[in-house]
Amino acid sequence: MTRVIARIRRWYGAHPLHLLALLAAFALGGYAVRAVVAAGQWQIYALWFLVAIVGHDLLLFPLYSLADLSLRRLLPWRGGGASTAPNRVANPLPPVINHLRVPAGFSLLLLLVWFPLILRLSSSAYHRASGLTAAPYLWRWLAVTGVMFLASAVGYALRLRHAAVKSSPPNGHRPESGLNRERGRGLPTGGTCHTGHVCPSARERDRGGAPDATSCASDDRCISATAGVGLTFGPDPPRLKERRRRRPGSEAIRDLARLRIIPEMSGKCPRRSS
Amino acid sequence: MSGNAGRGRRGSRGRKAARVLLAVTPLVVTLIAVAARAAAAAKLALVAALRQAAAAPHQAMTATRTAAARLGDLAAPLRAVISRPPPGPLFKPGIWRSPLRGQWLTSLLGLVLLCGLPIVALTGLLSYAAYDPRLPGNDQTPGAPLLKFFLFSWPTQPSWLYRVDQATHITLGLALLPVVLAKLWSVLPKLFSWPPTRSPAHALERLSLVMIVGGVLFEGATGILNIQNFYVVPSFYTAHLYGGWVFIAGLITHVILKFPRMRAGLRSRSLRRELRTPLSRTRPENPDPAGLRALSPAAPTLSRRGLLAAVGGASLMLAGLEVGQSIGGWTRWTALFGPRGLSVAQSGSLPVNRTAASIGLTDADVGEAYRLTLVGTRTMTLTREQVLALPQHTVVLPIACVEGWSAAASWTGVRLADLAQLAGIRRPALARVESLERAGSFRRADLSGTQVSDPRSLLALQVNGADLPRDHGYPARTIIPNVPGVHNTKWVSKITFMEAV
Repeated sequence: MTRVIARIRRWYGAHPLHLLALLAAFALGGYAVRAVVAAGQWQIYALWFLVAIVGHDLLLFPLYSLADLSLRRLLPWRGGGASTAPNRVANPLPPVINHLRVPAGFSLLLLLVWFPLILRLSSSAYHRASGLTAAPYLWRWLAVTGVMFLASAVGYALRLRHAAVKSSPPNGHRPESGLNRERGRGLPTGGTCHTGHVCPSARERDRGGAPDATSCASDDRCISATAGVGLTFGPDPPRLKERRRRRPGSEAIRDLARLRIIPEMSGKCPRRSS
Repeated sequence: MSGNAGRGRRGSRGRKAARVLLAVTPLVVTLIAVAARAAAAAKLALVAALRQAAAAPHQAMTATRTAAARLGDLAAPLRAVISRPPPGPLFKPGIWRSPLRGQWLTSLLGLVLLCGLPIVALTGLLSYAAYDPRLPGNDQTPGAPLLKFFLFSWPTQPSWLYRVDQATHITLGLALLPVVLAKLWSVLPKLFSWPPTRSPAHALERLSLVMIVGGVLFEGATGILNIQNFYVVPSFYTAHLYGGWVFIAGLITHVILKFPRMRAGLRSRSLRRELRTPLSRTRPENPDPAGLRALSPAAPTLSRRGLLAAVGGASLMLAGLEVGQSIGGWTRWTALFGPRGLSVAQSGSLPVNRTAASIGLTDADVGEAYRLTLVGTRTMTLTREQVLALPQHTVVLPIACVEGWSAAASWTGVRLADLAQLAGIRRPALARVESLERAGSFRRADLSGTQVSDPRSLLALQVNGADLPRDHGYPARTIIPNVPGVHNTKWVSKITFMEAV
């Protein structure tokens, strides 16, 4: 018996019960489909079923991921994510991306569910059924969308205020510039960088341009993360000075030096390949 | 048209086209892979069996081996096509970079769905039972007698059961939509994993996902469109009921096959700790056997708890802007998107399904010429005044629609049991109620003996102390405790009672 099972496992790839469960499921599904076929109009159901299968993976997902990527490219600060232009490192505001993503996502979800009423696609059938008009739904959707964006903006403003309060020194001393935000309580510790990864090629980043998207973005983020996390003022750290001397053309290093990132905060990640 | 070079070019173009085609339809490839694998496996089994049978004549063995080898040769080019991923970025594993994907997240979303979707499925099946489809004129969904095994005589107690059942079905279904989308997002890279299948078992398992993924989105789409009267899918009842069974088949299998993996996934991290982890300390999950975690995760732009909050918030928003149309009272004002929510609250009247105008009811139909016909052992024809002269009773009962909305009202009219007596039926087993409506699926409804005999079942003439509005069935309508709204027939013209045998 065990030998038979072992043989089935070898060619089938799983325990025979696995096959039994699947065959039972196909039998039940097939029986239900048979009833639909017998009732007629099965072609349109088949079409709808196929649309449903690819509906998220091949229709919705490409749309929302494209929208998200575009949003991240457009955002002028690094908290937004994917942008790699070095001059954008300088803005240490709290990331705004999720304050846009959430209201936009919620609003689009409402549209996804209620589009027949919002876009008045079913207005005559709705009126015949209920005696009501579909006219208000568009305005309600716009209003709810507006309220959600407003609430998100208020939330962001509160975060900015919170960050500003936390960044002002307790003894009343203020630096000449506002670049003194310390959001460093969640700093990475140990040998890994902010993303939990050992950066694969800091050298590529040091060449100044955008790092290779597939191999080195975590490395790139490492800089952005530390830039947003630990900015302060003081003399150039010796290590950075030395690096700048070695690679005078490197924009990223110049940028780092201009920002005077504290070495023990920033040095965790890029140090590996230098 | 001649020369090896031309054939070669055509051949390579053909293979390229084949690869591109296969890229679009991984399922086709899966099937081919099953065939190839089965052919190869058949060959192996054949050879092994023949080896064991050492006494078999040498010649026959060689012949069979040759045949088996030919089968293997047929499968080889198919395997060669499958072994290389098709062109396009989606099939490169490095493209999937979200640091939040992983077995824990997928398992947690799976657990939420495992708790919620069976409730949606069961309330849906209960709603089907509420139509009493075993009565002769009630079944809107022909076929599949075996799938009606669970049906039972729908009770009239408690009167709120159907209302709660449908409110749960619609509201929970809507609330789970964001979770379903998040779950699909979390496992999306698996759709493009290559090779598309590792074994016949794997291929069959992937094929069974058609039932659960197609099923859940088909059910969601048909349901959501139907509650908004967007009738782009014909005969909603058939589609939604049998689509539901396909989904149930897929769900049961998926739970059986994936439960151990879900449990392991849930144990891989602590929910409590995740809820305390901000963005700055959010790290990718550990690699898992299913390969859900990205090969090279990007830096997070959202914490894991942030994602969960967004999904949960979206669920609450969808449910919260709809559920008021089921609860009624002041909450109806909060149902901005429930089709019988805020708009009904603003109009200050009872919600309506099917207006008098939509069925072409004329003044003549409901005026002096209106007659109610009762058929039993004798036939009677009554004017509305004569019905009003019969003993009147008042009950408070909800009307609850399959679309999820409901509202309670105080109805006044004649007991159906009294009308049965008038028609000469003492123990009614069935009543067929017909409407002035000339067409439409619900211009008549069959009521069971229990429903007719219930003292709260009325032929109502008034609602909330005033004559019925025409949209609510003037001159007379039935109101039965705990039935789907459409079985409270409006504009009743004829009731046929049948005696129990």
